[in-house]
Amino acid sequence: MKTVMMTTFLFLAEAAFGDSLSGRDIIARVDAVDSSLDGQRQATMAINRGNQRLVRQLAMKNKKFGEDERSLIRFIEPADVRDTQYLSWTYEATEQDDDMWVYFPSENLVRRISGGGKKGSFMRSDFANEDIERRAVDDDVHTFVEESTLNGRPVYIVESRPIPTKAKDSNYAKRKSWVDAEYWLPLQVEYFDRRDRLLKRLTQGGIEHIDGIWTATKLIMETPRRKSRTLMQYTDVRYNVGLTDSTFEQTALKR
Amino acid sequence: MNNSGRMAVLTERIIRWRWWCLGLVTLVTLAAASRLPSLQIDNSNETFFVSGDPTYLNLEAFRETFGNDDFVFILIDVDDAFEPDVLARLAELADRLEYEVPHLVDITWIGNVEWIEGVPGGIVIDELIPDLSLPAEELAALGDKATSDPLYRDRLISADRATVGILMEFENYPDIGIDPRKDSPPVIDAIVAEFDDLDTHVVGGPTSDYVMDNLTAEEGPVWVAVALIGMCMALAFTTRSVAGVLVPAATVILSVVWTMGLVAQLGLTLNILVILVPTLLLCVGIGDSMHVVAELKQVRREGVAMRPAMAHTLDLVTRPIVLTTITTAAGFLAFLATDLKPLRELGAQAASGVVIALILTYLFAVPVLSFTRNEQASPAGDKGPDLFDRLLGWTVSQVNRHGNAIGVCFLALTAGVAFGATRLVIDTNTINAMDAEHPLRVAFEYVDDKMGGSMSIELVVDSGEADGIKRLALLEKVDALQAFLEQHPLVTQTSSVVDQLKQMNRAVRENSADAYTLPKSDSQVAEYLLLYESGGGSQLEKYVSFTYDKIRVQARTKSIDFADVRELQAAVSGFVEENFEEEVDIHTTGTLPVFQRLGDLIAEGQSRSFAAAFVVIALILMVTLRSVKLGLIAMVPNVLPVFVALGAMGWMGAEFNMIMLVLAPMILGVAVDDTVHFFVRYRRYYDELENYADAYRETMRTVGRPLLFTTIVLVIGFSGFQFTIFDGPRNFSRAAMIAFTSALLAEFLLAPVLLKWFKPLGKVNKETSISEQSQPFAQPTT
Repeated sequence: MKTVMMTTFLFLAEAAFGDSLSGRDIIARVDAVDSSLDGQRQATMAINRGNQRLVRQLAMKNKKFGEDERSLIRFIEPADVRDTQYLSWTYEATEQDDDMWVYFPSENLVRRISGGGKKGSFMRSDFANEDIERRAVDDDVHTFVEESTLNGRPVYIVESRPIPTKAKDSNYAKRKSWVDAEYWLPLQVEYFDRRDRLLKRLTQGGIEHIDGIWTATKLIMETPRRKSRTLMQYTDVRYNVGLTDSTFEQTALKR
Repeated sequence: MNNSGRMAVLTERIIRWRWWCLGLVTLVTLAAASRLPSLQIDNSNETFFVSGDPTYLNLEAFRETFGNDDFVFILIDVDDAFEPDVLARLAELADRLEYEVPHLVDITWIGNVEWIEGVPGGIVIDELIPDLSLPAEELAALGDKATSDPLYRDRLISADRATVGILMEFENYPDIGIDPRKDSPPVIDAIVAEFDDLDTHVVGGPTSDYVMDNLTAEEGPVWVAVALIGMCMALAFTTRSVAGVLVPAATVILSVVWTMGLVAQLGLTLNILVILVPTLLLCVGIGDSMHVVAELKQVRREGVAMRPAMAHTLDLVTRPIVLTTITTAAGFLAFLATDLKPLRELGAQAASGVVIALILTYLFAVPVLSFTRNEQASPAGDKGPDLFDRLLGWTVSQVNRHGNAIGVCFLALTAGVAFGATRLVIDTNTINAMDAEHPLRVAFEYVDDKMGGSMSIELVVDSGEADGIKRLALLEKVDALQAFLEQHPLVTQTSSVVDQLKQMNRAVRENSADAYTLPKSDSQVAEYLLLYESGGGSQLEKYVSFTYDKIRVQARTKSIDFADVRELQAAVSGFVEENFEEEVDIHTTGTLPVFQRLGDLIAEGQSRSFAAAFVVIALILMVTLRSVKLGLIAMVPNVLPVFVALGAMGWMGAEFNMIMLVLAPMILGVAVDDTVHFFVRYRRYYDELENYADAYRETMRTVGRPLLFTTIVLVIGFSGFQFTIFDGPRNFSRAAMIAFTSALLAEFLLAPVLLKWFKPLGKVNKETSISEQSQPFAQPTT
């Protein structure tokens, strides 16, 4: 009861000051939810297309370096790509391109990847790389649309369009987010192409308060045109575990 | 009551109730006409197959796995595609297309193709031209890169950079609208028209089907109109009366309206073969009323008043025209024996139309004819023999004098002509069926010439297990298969995931030229596929199935026909048998093999329906003529025209295509009319005169004229198809004209000789009385 009252109070308070919240403000709040210095988690993806199903497993680590962020993904399943790793450095400065390296265990070889990696599909799932990476707030222009409710939860609806210099690196011309007014996490995101056709829909749930940080542990991405759906389940989520800087160096990939 | 008495009563009743008959016809016609706007056309290929056909199931599975294989390709001639201004203009065009063309899922051109390249310590997976506004020198350098890459040279850009292509691929079409496949071509055409400073050529399955549909829709009414006008002129010439023209023409038009109204009322759709229905009905439906008109005129010439003349006419023609209706309808219903929906529907619609034409002959033609001037019966002999009488009389005397020689010559000539059928080539390439000058054909040939081919065949390599295609051993065989295909004269290029893997391998090895090979282990294959995809490579979805159990190999070809498709399939099967393990299934699919299968189904269906029609018609003739031998002899002039028409087409070098495949049953349907009229009358006179020569002479004297007239009308009617830009209908009409003429000649010249030879009705009982005499042919019998 106490929680409900607090939620209602917060929402009313936000609503009272709603006029002063711009689209960017809301997205900045979303960006700030993860206040950790570093974190790690296990992810399991179940990708369903028609009556076919693929299962993928990976381990993810990330650490903030000032405003920038570095992340490391290690593949566990399927077995044929086990221990393949991707290291990426994402920069807050919009003019700076992100860096990415890949480690091939079969050859013990590291290669730097550049180019259109963000648009690529993530292990044949409905997620693209750009959907699971942190996106700098000012990579998009954000427009507040309205306050509303989604599944009984008060939300802010914001539309985000990539700034011209970033448009080329994105599959989407527009994203529409339903941001929970309490957790400041998007409960739903719709992705549109240039012709304003709906490409995909993300639904986030299983929201837990882990190490003091609101975290969505269950993500469902659907691609209606392909009749495809991916469930991403995060487990063993931990924040501020004290990951070393060197974990995110390319030289560490071979270790 | 005997037959004559019954006909007198029927005539009396029709004439008494003629206003009611015409009122009923008007009401039904109005009702049918009101249903016409709701007629739906469904031309999609899917409509051809009855459910469960394995070829179609393969295509469905292919589309489910790899997406739609349909594409439209725009080829553009420029000075240099990498000149900044040209590139900007091309980008503008690509942009418009991407933004506006319906069902588009991917657009690929040199301005947005991916580029995989090894650099020291790294790999670049990006677009070839990261920024279209780069300085001219940098763009020129990128142009050199593009033209040196086998993935793009002669696929999206010519080696001299003077020709570029824009490839548009489509989503699996939604189940909405009549035919969503035809949504994109008009939009593409409109956009391309706005870029008139660019020299463009548009090809692809949806485009050619759309153009064909439009041409057919434009030409269809012309064919029908020309056929109708031709028939009317022939009717005017042969009957020399207004009623003789208007009554059969109006009867057959009403039959078409009623039939189409019935189709709409039953909620059936019209298909690609429907264009044949009105013309078919014109041909087979006009016979009934024409026989009434011609016979009535004949009787009136002999000085009989209208009512008795009509009663006598109906007495003479009712039995044959009911029989011809049954036999013709049976011929069309034989299409139900095929596995093709459009042919089944065509058969059912044409059969209904034939029955409707018979009904209208009595409900409309007879009442209207009864209004014609009841002129004073002319005294016998007033109207002496005219040209047709003299021609028929001369024919009879020649057959009676030189029957054996005529019979032998006729059979020899028929055999010679029919032998030409062995030279017939089945061609179902619709593009080749067009005039050489038509812009669409020119565009296809231009693309064939300039850029590796305008068509494609898809091969699916199914490993039978998830992740099976990641096995290096299998990929090496697919690589060999591609190499084999590229050596084949019909194939211009191939593509599969093997190309991407080779690119990745080379890129990982810092662009070493000798590293353009497959990776060296199963693990490397899996890792490179992962890297390719997550690095932004866009082709994986198109070439590898979701669970990595199947690979798609695309073989681009020039514009080819069914025989080529079959040859290529045989070559692939041979290679697969020798080189792949048994558990790997490799099959061809895509639009071309589906059309080829369609051709096979039509050919099989045609032989089956032809056989069914033959049996049914032969049985009906045997029963009607009350003689097995006479029935069998009557089938000879039915079947010969089919072989003569096919043989003549073979000698003329015409190609046998889809539209021609409905020819044989149609010829049978029309020829059987002549046969029934001829033999029913012949049997009647033989029973009366008991002499073959006399029966022949009397048959020719009475029914010869209407048969001659119907043939003239049909031949002229079919000349309407000469006004087409398609080779198919033009050849079809030529074959039909030859068939109708040879059917008549077989009736007039061969049938009497066969009857004389085989004497199916027993030995001659009476001495001939008139066969050798040269009395005027139009002399009335009183």
